[in-house]
Amino acid sequence: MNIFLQQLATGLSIGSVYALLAVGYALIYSIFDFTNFAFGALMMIGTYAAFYSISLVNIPLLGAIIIAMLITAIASILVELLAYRPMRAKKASRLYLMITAMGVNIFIQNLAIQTIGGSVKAFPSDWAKQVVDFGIVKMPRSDILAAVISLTMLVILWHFLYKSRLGLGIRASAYDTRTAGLMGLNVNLISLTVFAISGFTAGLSGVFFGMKYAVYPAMGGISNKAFIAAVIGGLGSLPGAVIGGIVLGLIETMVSAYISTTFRDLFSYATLVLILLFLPNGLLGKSVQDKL
Amino acid sequence: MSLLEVENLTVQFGGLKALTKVNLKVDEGEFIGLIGPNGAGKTTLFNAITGVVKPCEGDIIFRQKNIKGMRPDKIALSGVSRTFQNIRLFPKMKVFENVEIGINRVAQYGIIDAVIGLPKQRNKDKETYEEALKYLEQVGILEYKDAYAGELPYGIQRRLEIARAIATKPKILFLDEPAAGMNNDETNDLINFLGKLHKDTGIAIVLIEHHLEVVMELCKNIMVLNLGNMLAHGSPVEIQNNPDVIKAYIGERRQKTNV
Amino acid sequence: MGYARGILILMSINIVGVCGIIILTGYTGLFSLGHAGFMSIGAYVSAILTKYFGIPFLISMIIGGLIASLSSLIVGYPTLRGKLKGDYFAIAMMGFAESIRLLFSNIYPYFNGALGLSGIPLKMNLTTSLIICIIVVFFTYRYLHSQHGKLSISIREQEVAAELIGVNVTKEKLKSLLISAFLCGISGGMMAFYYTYMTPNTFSAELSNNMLAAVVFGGMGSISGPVIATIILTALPEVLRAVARWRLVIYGLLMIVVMLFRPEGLLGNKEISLYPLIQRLKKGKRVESVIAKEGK
Repeated sequence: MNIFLQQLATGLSIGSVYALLAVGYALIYSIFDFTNFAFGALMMIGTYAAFYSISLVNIPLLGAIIIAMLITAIASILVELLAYRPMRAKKASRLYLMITAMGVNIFIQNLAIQTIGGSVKAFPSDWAKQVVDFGIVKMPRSDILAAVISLTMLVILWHFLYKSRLGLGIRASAYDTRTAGLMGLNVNLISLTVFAISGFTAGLSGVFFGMKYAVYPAMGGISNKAFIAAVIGGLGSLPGAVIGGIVLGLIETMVSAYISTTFRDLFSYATLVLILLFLPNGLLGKSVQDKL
Repeated sequence: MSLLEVENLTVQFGGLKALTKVNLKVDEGEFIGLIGPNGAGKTTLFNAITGVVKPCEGDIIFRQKNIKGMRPDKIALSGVSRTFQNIRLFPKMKVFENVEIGINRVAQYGIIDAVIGLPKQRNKDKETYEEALKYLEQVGILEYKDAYAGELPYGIQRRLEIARAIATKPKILFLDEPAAGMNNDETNDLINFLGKLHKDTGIAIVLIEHHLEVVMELCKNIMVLNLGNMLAHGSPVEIQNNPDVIKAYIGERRQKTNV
Repeated sequence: MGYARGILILMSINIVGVCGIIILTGYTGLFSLGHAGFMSIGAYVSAILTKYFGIPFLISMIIGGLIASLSSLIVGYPTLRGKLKGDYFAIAMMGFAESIRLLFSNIYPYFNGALGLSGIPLKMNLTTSLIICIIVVFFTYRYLHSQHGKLSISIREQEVAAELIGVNVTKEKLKSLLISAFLCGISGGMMAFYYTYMTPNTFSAELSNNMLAAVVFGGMGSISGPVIATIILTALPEVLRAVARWRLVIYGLLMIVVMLFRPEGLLGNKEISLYPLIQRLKKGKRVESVIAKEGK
């Protein structure tokens, strides 16, 4: 039983990071009907921003996390302004948009590999590595931090989307961007806000993955989990992304513990295929009227 | 038995009832008009019949078979064809190739045949090409055959869409606002063109149009939709004198001048 | 001379794979980042069949291609049907390639896991690879210029209209996927019998990205465009040794630039044509005869 509770705790921790990551991805998808394939690269930027803040400038962990979020948000906005927005203005097809996003991803990722070097580094925080003993359950500080901050961010995001004017504008845009624009909403401001938020989540998640696993330029691949989580919950739905992320985190941890660590990712992928076969609209499916 | 019978059709999107218990009957070779203010549900009716949206209630009987909820491509293969409000041609294909797709929606020979290139396959391709040219000539745009569909002038694009639609040899053709964006001369040309097309091919046609003169001129039977409900049904004279119809249209016009 | 020979063989191998992407992405408009997975399956299956079971390499390559093709249904069937947007397919393909890599890295009997498979007989010489390449390009050309190709284009251009005309969109998409997976499987087999050693990591995202780049740069809707692009992209890293390591950075940037400023790529949906060249030569001859006449 103890092992199960332990795995549950770890699963919820990793699940909350997946949830955050999935929300960042789903936010853009639901508003722009577009998969930001550069999401992984952004995540990587966040990790390295925190890494260098701590190792080069000696900024404390919390400060480094904030810096990571800010830098990633800026990068996200830049990508939107320089690549995505011009493509949307040209009414480019879905295929072209995907290729552009992939181009951004390839560019940023390989730029990092060539400039920083492809070696794998450990996250420079001894504080985060320390394990806290709760009696029945033991968790490294990084896992606790990840869970707490991710869940807090999700609550803040929920408040923002449902209780603020800009949030209302964003939700309206999720339904119909053109009409929202015609009704007087500042669509440009909304798109920048959305990409900034997406950047925050990417940067934050990046830091947590860096803490939990390692820091390396190709770590953007973890963002595939975001896609999978979003699909499990129901693509385009934010509550779905949260649920999908937590479910994915739990599945992965349980598979790691009870079946095999090596084939963990294989199971995640198999889950994706099964959901696509039997529940293509995700767990929340069509019953979710409100896309957000 | 009618060619097409739509019974009690209801289409709902979330909380919005786009169509409520709509009935429609089309006989072989009939030319029917479908009019109504914006948002009345006309295109939704087309979408329901052609399989784009699934109705929650009602039946669509085409050639004695219920096609409600069937896959759109299967519905099309059974003899239903349509054009779109926003023209949906294949822009990077040549004009004649657009029509060729209408002729061969299913490949007529296998992959091996295609690669080896036996006379059988070459002949089929030649036949298809020549048939496509015939349709282009029928709609009067043969001279554009090698142009790319995306580069055509608007009026020609509309005709190409119709050529592609009739190339499928349909029993019934749904035209969605073919006169949209046309001036008076072009609209007159269109009236003549559609009249001749109907006479030459004998296809049943259901026409959505806002240019009422087109509908009144060509259609023996007109159906009026308003807010998802069938408002009136009858001959052009009956419709023009129907007080409900007048109210629906003039009522709308009055609102426009306020804005 | 042996050096140039190697590059030509590499070009042939790459062109075979790119033909698959031409059919899938260039003509049908489906976006995949995981076709390296099919190359991996083709490579391992053919290498194992020949090395351990003595099956002639051509046959084992075909079997490899067929198995790669069949495996594409795992991804293809759930994601290409119904109203699912292309994003599902793209995401699923990424996961597929990664899963294959993971799977093969952990199977030790025959596959030798992460250590890689070595001692594969060298069967790809210049003649063999060129012949395979020419056959594949011919096949691709004939296929895409037939009704099948036109149906694919119609889906790429206007999927909704195509379906409403009566095209079975799901079936045609699956067809394109199956063929593209087969061709990538063959390409993988060619790699196995050329390099004689490979690991699951040989078939990385980089391979998929390179093939996509060739189609994007060469022109979607063209065959000669991506083929020429492949030839250039294969030769370039060898020619520009100094810049070679920045290759992928440049590809990424170039992809964005091409999408923004010239989405049709090098040749768009046209093919390279000798016709204008022939016309110019004819004109030259006419001018010559006029000058000759005047001279008299």
